[in-house]
Amino acid sequence: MNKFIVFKNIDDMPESAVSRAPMSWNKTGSWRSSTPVHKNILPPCNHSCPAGENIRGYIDLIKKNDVAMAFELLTSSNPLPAVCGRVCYHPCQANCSRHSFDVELQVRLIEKFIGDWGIEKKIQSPLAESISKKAAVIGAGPAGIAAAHYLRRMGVSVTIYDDSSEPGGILRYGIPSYRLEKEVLKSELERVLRGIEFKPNSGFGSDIDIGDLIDYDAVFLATGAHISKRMGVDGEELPGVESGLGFLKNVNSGSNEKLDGKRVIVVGGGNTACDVARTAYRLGAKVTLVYRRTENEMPAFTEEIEELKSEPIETLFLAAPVRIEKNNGGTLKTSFMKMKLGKPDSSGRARPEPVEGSEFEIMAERIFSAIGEDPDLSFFPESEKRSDGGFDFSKVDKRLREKLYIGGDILPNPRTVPHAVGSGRLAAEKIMAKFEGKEYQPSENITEVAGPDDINLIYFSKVNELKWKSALAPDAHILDARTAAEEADRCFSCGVCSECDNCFNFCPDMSVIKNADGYYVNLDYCKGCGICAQECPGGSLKMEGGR
Amino acid sequence: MKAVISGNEAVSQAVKLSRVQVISAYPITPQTTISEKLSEICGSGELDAKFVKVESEHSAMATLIGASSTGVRTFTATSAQGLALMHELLFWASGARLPIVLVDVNRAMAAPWTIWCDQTDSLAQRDTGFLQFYCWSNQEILDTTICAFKIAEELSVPCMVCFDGFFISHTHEVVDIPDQSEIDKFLPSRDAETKLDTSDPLTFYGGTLPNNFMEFRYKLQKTFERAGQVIDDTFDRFEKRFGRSYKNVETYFTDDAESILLASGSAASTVFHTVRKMRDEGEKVGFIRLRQFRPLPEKKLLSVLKPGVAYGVLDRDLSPGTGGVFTQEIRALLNRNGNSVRIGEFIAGLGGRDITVKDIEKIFAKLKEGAAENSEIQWIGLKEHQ
Repeated sequence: MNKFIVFKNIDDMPESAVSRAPMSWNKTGSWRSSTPVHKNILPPCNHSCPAGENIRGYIDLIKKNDVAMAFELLTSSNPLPAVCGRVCYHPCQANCSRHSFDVELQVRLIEKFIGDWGIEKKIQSPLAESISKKAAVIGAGPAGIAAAHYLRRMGVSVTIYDDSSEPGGILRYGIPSYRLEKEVLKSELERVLRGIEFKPNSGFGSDIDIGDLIDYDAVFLATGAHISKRMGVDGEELPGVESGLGFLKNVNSGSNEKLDGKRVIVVGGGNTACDVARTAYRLGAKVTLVYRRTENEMPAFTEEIEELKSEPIETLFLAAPVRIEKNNGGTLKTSFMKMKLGKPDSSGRARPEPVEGSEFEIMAERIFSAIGEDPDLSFFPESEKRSDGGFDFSKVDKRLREKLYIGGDILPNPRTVPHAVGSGRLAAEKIMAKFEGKEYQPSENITEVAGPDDINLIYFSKVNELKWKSALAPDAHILDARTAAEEADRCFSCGVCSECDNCFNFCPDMSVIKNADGYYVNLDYCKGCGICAQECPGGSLKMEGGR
Repeated sequence: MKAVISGNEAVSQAVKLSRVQVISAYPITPQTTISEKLSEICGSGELDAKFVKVESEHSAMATLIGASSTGVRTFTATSAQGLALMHELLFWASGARLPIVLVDVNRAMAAPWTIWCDQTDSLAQRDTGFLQFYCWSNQEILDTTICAFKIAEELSVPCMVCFDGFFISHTHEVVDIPDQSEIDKFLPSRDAETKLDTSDPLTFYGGTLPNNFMEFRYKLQKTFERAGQVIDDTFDRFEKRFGRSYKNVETYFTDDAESILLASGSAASTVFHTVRKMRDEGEKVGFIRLRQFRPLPEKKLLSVLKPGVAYGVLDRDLSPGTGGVFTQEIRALLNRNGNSVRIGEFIAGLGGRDITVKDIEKIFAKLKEGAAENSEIQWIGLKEHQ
């Protein structure tokens, strides 16, 4: 309505200037020079998660005490929360906006809590009706498991082939049980592999061949990387000189090997080297870990290094083996050269350079090399290594090539469990898109990442001390539903609306409208004052230029 | 029920009895114990009201303007700088015709910094469109505050109840606290004609062009012109129900007096005491208590101020460059009515300085010597020039 009332007589006028009609005719939105937009952007935790978890999302559900929904959301992108709550290096925590405010949110402990809850409650993932498509997955490591799981959930018949007797790959045979209990892995895999055929002792290239695979509609290859790199020194073939990964596999397969009082040298600075050193120590050995750079350059996760240092394991930095000899008594004499750090190499880390005339010797009974692993692609002799570290499969048998998908440690990604899981899920999504005859589209297309400047810190208070602290040890600082909710409550909800109602409450023009779908701005009346954006704690509401 | 309570507590009791629904206040001495007590009463559930904590007096009044617009009964209390900080919003309250009741515990305006009493703070708000009462006892504070809601709501204008900081606010006296059931009959819940209601949106106090604004001011003036009658009627009805009488202007020993002093607030009780003492001594002195300042009870004043008497006005306030506010107002009233009565202007007790019996006797002595004819300010109790 836009009717102008003209008072001709003072007696017609009210006592105070209150009109009998609303001001809705006056569309003050025309005054606006910038516009508030409820624009969810990527929280840094979600952005940094190699598995593609919606971390902020399940943290929010934990905050609301909805563990079941949190489990559902988390397992929609990562089928292995109990495993990852233990072994993931959690870049989400390193990138958490609270990191510079007080202490980063302990996502690891929350993820572990959710995963353990799923095991305890014996939750079953929903499986879709069969869609008469079948897929083969080669390799039952985290990538293969994730791909198989999501394909099965979407109705695909899946068979996993693996050269070991049990599924799990690196989780089962590489990661020591003090970091990932075998029971937890077993329980989680029971859920994840439900409805999936597992063929043990079926190594590709040895037990099965391309002919076994050509009937499948899709093949996912994730055989991992487990050929230990050679140290390239004389005496490497001597008995007692072994691959660290092989040693871990033996121990994890139930070998009763004891290293009581034996002197053990572990060469390397990655996670495998740390696991080998700590496993050997647990078997009674006196362990020295030798790394050619310094602690700062160690590729192992920070927490693994911290745990390693907390144990009576000797570390020797800036030294590399040059020769191994056998003494008369059967003891191995390893000669090392001292190193110094030079200019950065292609990895960006300082290149170790030998110091002339600095040779020294260490005596030991066993030497484990853990200086990195390469994928074994001998079953595809026609595959070629690319300059980016990945492999070119374009010359592979064309009956397979068209439907071949690659994941896990064969990819030129960091070799971590979440990267493997992420690659497996991504492959499953791509395979499904192909089955449906569609172009693959990522489910979310947000690229803008929320930073510390997006947070209105006035709405948050610092904690003096965390009651719980993340640790790799599985029994450390267990969270329960109450403490998990308490911890989750610290989340800033960076860049994502937390439904706090601030925009709704603060809008002086009542132009922020709340309904079942959330909030929207009534642009007929919003003057663009920006108070809503200023008072948005997590920065999901932004002012954008123009109307 | 009779109780020995302070002036500030008398306010809190009155607010409780009046079933106020929204209270918002910011602490400031000497008012603070009013809002403290009210927050306790609200917290304990004795009074079913929303107590809104705010960061300033400006926000307190803004809160009440919003609340009062929804049709509820509202209250705040403040002093001195706090009242000055509300200044802008006092006009909003009256222009919006909201019956907000405000207690101002009189305190001198800084600088220099002071927490002690004078009446400059509330008198400086005389043009904001608030009714103003000045009390001299704790009983009067309680009774006037209750009546203030009734008067304000009947007239749709805000009302200020004032009394002197410390002299009254922190002094304990016997107060007869009426029964709630009696107050409920005297003061039913507010019946606002227009209410702010988000489900039925109207436009409140919106932009008003020159073709309409002046009429709203005219109506406000007309309301103040008829306010005197509403005030008199309300206190008459209060007297009938509760037996305590309050008049806008109260006269004591004036019939045959040769010198009469006008005063308000706590100083009035000293004047009253001194007049009785001087009467005992055979002096023909009288006293007029000014209880109501806005609207100025013009008819009553004109009827009591008679030629041939030496009048003085005791001002515990100062409008620099002019003098006492009460004096100005009464002189202007006399002048525009062609009245030849002359009054002397006495300023005393600024910033909490005591106004003693001796000071009052000195004023009467001056009036006897013709001080009423003197148009200059006569300062009482000032340190002498050496």
